[in-house]
Amino acid sequence: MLNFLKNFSAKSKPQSIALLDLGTSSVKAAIVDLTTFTPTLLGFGEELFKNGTILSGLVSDLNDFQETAGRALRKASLACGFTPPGLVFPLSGEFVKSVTVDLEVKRPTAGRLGRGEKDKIEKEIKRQVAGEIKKEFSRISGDPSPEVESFYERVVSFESSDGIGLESLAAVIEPTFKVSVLASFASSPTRKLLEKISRGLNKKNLLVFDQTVGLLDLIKKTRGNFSAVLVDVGFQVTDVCLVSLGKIVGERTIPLGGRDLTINLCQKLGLTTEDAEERKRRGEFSPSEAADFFKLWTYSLDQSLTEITQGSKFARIPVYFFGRGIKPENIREALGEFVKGSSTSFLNFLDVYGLDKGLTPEINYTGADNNHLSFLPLLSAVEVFQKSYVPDKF
Amino acid sequence: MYRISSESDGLWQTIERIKKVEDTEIELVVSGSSPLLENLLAFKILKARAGQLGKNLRFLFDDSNYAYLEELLNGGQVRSPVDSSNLPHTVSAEKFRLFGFLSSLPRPHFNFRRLSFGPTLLLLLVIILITAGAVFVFYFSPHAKVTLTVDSEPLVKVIDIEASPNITTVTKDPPSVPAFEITAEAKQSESTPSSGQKEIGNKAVGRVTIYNKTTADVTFPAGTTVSKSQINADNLNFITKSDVTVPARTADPAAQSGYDPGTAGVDVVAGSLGDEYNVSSGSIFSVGTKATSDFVASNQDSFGGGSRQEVKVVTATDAAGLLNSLETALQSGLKKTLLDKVISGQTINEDSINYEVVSKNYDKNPGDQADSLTLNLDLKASVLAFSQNDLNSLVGQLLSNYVPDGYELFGKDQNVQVQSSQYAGGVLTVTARGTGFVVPKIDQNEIKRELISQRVSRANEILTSLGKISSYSLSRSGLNLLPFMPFRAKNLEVVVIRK
Repeated sequence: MLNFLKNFSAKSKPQSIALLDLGTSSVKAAIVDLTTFTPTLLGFGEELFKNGTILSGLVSDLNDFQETAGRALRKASLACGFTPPGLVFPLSGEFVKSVTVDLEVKRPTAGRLGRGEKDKIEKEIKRQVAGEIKKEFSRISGDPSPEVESFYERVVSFESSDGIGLESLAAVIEPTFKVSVLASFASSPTRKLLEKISRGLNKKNLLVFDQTVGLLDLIKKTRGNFSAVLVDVGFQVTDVCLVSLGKIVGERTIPLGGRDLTINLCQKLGLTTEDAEERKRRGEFSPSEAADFFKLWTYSLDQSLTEITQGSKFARIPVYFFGRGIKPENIREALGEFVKGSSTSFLNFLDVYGLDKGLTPEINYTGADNNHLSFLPLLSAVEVFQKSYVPDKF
Repeated sequence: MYRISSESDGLWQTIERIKKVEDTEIELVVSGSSPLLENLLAFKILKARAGQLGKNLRFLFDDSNYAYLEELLNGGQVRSPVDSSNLPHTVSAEKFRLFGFLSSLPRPHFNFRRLSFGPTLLLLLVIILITAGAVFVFYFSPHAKVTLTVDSEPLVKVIDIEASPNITTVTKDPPSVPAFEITAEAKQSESTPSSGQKEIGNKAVGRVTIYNKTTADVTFPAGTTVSKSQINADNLNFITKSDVTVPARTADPAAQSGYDPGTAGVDVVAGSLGDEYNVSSGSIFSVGTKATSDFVASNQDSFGGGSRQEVKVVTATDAAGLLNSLETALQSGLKKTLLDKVISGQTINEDSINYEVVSKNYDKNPGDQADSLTLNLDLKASVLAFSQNDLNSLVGQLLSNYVPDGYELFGKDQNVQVQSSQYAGGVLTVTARGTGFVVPKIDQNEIKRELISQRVSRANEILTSLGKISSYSLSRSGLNLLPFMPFRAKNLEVVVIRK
């Protein structure tokens, strides 16, 4: 009877989806039509949290958190006249982390995999991925026995032991082969939080994953299996993700963001919060006017990368910055003088990467205005969602 | 030691507060609602940044759930008790961390007294009936029959088997079948013309006088050749029968040459048979190797008695050819006799018949003058016969040892052919070629387990992926409202047809 039930669980792709980006200052919502050859953005909306709803990336006021998500979704719905029944959560910050787990599978004998053996290997891969996730989460939280859940898993590559790419498990003949699995994970209460939001909005939770996975896929389209540090600068937190040869090595969140830069400008220049925010957005400040912030921020970037690599040194590696209001020249100037004294080599070379360099998701923007540019991480999630309907590589 | 508390401060604010503290030893008391919790990196940055500012930072957590962080960050130092009364921290009931929000979720509340059981029971009954109907329609009714066709493949093995008269039963190790000897004997006489030839006759004899023109006496031993030269033919050679001394010449002024040669006579015999050696008188001969200017010989009388004729004789080849011819003729007859003696179910290998000459008598010996040769030959033949059924049975048993893994012998019709046989030491070694058929083993129960409850499309995929079969058919019967295979094992029949 279990087989019988399993057959009913086969999912069909919805015609449209609503995406919710839960940030530290606002919730962004987008509604995308998936029936067109290229997905079409039908509507989007953004709503700000009340002051204090999020503290250092963590939810402090659950009610406002839920209500803000509802308002953002309604705003997006107004543009197209409907709300899809399914929600997709491309998460970021403290909500989720990702890691690529490289495994080596050894079998007693060579030959094509039988059905039983294939199932056994799949189970073993999943078991080992779960173990690696637990270890990684333990390193992030310090909790030796964390309650962690895998939200999203994708086979990144299959390789024979001598490095020849394999299409899938069905192509395996060798007794030993390597598999890389990209996994997004978070603490168990995060899932319950998302379920609560979905229930509150009377929607179905379709897919939860890390926004960084979308950015990774997007950059890989033009740069292949690149190596870089992706830095997503948010309002309260900064996400740091180390990518090596197209695989996520690890991810950390620094509880520092644009808000802290504003505070530093207020203190240093004696401005009101509103004035400081305005100058920050326009980039009308010199790095020395926010020296304390930049020192701590640069130092924190170094620390986070040291944490990810557990002390191993990387060769010179570009750093790509994302985030609203990020201006390449500002970042370069602001960080340039501070990285000179850096104890690691991570920040020796800076590159600021954004939409101006052709990093564009394959989305039709019919029906939406030009503000979609600030929705880059959110929209890059559409392709990840599409991929989740491609049969599993296993 | 200066103690500060952290409730809702973030990283930036906390650093700013640490900067303002003049004391170098600082304890940071972290409340259970701090947004920094569960981000180990934040604390590490704090500690390291404080170190850069020349301050030693220790962490104290007032929530025992985070004792592991305290131990991790303070390097296992024993915490000092937190005197919360001195700290101005207040935890708002409305604020809670992301991972602690569950405690504020509304809990389910039931009041059993308000439930009415009448309609509920009716509803339950209807649900049970519908469920029972659905179970019948979807679970018991659908039937399916899967017919798998597998093709047989030949299995050919060459096996050496002993046929021995010393055993009475078939044995597998070593592979042996019982055998018994059949014999036959035949006599025959046959003649053949002699093919050899021989010359017979007499040598010519006569007497020659040797003339010595030299000034010294010369003695020629017996056996010295005197030769008469001929035009267009070989010299005719004669042999002296005895020693002869020819005296030196003597002066004779009257003679034209001024001397008289010395002379001596000696008997000679022809070197070979033939009347051409009957030379006429007055013939001139050279003597030995001497020059004719010094020595010559001549016969006063003609030579006579020389003669020659050719006759037929028996040769060794005649004898061998006659034996071979007679053996072939006898063997052919004996083979037929042996085959006549084999009864139904027995078999012999004609190549293994052993022939033995009992006696052979020629009437002439090689070299004898005769026009023909006659041979009387007595030949005996023997062969080991064995049961073809015994051989087939044994090869069939042995073939099963060579069936590859995953296959099984199919059918009982093994073909056994004797390729060759060799008789030695009273035992016949038969090289037999056994041909059988094998088919892949199909575990019908395993396939049935895989197909049960699968979607029909998936079932087709599974059947298509079965590498061992050559074709399959899938037919469904009963109430098949859903595109699924039957959910009951009893309703699914898997049949294997082997060709």
